[in-house]
Amino acid sequence: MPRLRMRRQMFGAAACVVLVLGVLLASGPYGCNRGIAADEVVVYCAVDEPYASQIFAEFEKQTGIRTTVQYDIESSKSVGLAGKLEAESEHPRADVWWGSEAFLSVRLGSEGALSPYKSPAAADILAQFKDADGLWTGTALRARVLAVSMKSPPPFPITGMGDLADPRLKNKVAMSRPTAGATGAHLATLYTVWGPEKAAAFCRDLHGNGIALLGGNAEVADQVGAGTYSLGLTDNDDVTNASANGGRLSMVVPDQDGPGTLAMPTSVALVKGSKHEQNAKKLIDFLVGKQVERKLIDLKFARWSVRGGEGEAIKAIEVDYHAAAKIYARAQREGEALLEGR
Amino acid sequence: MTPMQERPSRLRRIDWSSVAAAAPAVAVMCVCSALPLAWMAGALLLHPEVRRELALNSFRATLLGRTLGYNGAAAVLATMMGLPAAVVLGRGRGPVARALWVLLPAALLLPSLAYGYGWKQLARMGLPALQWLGETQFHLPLLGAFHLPIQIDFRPNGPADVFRCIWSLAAWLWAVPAGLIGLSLRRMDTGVQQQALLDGALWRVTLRQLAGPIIASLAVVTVLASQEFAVYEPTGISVVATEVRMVFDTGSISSADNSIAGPMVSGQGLQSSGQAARAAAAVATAAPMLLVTIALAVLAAWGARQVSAAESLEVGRWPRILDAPRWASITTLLLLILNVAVPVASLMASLRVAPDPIKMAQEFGPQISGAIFVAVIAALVATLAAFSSAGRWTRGLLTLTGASFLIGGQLLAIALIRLFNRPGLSFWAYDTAVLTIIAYVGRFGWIAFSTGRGTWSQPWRELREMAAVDGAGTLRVAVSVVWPLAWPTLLAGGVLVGALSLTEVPATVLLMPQNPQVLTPTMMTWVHAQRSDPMIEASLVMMAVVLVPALAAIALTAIGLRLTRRGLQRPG
Repeated sequence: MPRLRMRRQMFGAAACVVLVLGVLLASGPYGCNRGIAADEVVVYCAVDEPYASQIFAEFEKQTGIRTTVQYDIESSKSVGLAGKLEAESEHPRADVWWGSEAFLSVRLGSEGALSPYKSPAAADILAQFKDADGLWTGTALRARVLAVSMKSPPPFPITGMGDLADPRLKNKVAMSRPTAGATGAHLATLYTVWGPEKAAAFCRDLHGNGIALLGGNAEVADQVGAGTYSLGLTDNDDVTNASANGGRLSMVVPDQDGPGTLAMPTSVALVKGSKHEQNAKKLIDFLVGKQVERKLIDLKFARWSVRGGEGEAIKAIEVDYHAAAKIYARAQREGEALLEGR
Repeated sequence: MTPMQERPSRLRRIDWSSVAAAAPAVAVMCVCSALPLAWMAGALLLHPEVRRELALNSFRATLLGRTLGYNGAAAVLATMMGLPAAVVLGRGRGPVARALWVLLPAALLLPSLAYGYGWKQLARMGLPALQWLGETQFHLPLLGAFHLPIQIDFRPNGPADVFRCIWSLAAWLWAVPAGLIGLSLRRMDTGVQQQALLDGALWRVTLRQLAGPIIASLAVVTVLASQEFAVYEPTGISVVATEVRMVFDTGSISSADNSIAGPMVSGQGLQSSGQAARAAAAVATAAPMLLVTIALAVLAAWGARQVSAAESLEVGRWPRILDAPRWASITTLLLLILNVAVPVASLMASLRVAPDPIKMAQEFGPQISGAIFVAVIAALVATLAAFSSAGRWTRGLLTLTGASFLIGGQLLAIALIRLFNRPGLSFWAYDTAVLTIIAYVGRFGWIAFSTGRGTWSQPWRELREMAAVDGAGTLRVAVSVVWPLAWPTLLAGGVLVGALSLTEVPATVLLMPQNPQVLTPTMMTWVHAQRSDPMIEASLVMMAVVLVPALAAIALTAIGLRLTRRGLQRPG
């Protein structure tokens, strides 16, 4: 009788442990089933959710392939998502990388996180906007622009980047912290095109003019629209968003009579070790296609085409992505220190 | 005696009944709390670069000072707002007090992300009073004829913006001091209070007796506020929580004099810093705050002991003369409207599209159902742990689960990511809901264990001993005596874990659950917009969703208290 009771109790102990593990494991299939689903493609996406979600919805409708999307977060931008992709490189979750610019894709490619894939839909894209080895393909150009407040307008016409350092706008200018995203890329471009000395001097001038460093480009556009600042350096889509949300601001593409502005294509790439490679290739073909680019321009996320001759004309700085990516870390660190007056 | 004969007798000596009762709780604690804590300890002890960074340099001191300053201010504000409510909770016996016991905990469970966004909407509405404040120069009279001119700066990261963040946190957390102090007040000896009233020293005596709970409230709110980063981050305010995330995500800090991530970035050109290095840097960034958190936790525990010291005190029949004054009830109701109705109304007023439930279901449905799925499993695991710990209490359960809460959601998530981001574990844990569930139970499991611990107080022990005299084993006592009385409270603990899991921000944002996806990370992408319809809609939906388990937990607690009181008064 005691032996029977002991057995019953041992069984009870084992049952309880199995129950705990069972409950935990029971939640696994929810993910596992989806993880291996043949009709799925997982995307790490640094393109803003309000635009990208519409593109993915269209892709799902056309192909029946379900997209699972991880978006970035404004403050850490695409750098955070790219870091995640790198950290998972031994067992990638993602199939497709859709970056908001090309510099990080260059980095991811050099670190072996991407697989080459030359999409037939990208044949007509200008060579400067795609990787020669097919590691990434650019589509839908955005640009760095100046957001001009209509609520607290500058006392002179705005034409270029130099206006940010104009003393007449002291303490009335703003930009995003160059920790990540387009602002970091912009700084890296200036370091490459102007040379480190001139770029550093410009950062010093901006600090001298009391430039405010905000949490993201969207915040810059919003604050300019609210009249807190007269002039802000941001992205064209953030100006569009702020304007749509009731902000009173206009947009100036800087230095169109000079060297031009930084034009940034979004970049699409196949992740190395993708679990759904065929679906991933279908999505890449879709994303770099003309229709999606047109839609992104219509949605006012992008303003210009990577195919040339489409959309408005823009004078853009010619960027050596590899050179800019190499100096990215220095530009980011040094630029931030100078902008903060350190 | 041969070894073959010896083995069964040894087995018989093990109290398998106890093992069976304790096993689930210990298993949950090991997986969800001990494992990430062990990783943390390893990161601190084994990485020389982390140890080197523990020295408090000027950057670290400034960051810590700013964090404590802002969150300490939120704690002071929350405690001040909580005092009138505490008086009503402690001394009120009418419908207002009864309603408060429901409304305050429910308000506390509303998502901080939504709360903060609600206040942001109010600030950007351009109310005439706020505009006047921004445009007016005030003069602070100093010595004699000297005046200090003050202009309220509404710019991002400016004084008014910082105050908005502090206020958002205080308005969210004021229920904590209200509850803690109110509970202590309720347990105060009525005889002492009546005598103090006769001596005209009621408030002085009351405040002296409440010193412990007030200090505990300040400590608890400071710790809770320090773990939140979603309120500060959008406008670029730098506190420890924002920097920990930034360092882990990007490898660099978002503010000046970065001694931590600087070496990681320098001279690396195309190369990025690896996740291991970023995780170590994040731990180093958080380390000074962790030490402060431990100190605050000790302070809170001391204050909480003042509350529980009166556990067995017989307060007797309530004398009406001690009833909460009317001003306290009116102030509390006004504060409730200000702290709950105003941010919710601001969200609604800022919505530019008519709410369309079908569109919202299409847009957020999968993520909401994902969040509910994960929260339900977390609640089940926590409930199992609560029942198990009520059956057999294991020393250290509350300490370890409390510690995994105190390190904060971000460090817990970083530890879990580093532990499970491996090819062999990705299929069943890293890529699935398991990791998220472990994080939520690790973060809030202490609540479930606290409900279990509640069944080991003196009256319960007496009940257990009576049952044991009749020959019942540990498991039998639990099944037949403890669980039938304590089940609503134990279940409430589990439900509470589920409710908090629904709105958890710090761990969720770092984990970015993929299968299933939950709503919080997407909300964090919207929160940066000054006004975003999807963010507002999602905030309102989350508020509505979390109210269901919140009210269920409150109802279960009420049933549990009644059942326990009745059962313990008439044992057998």
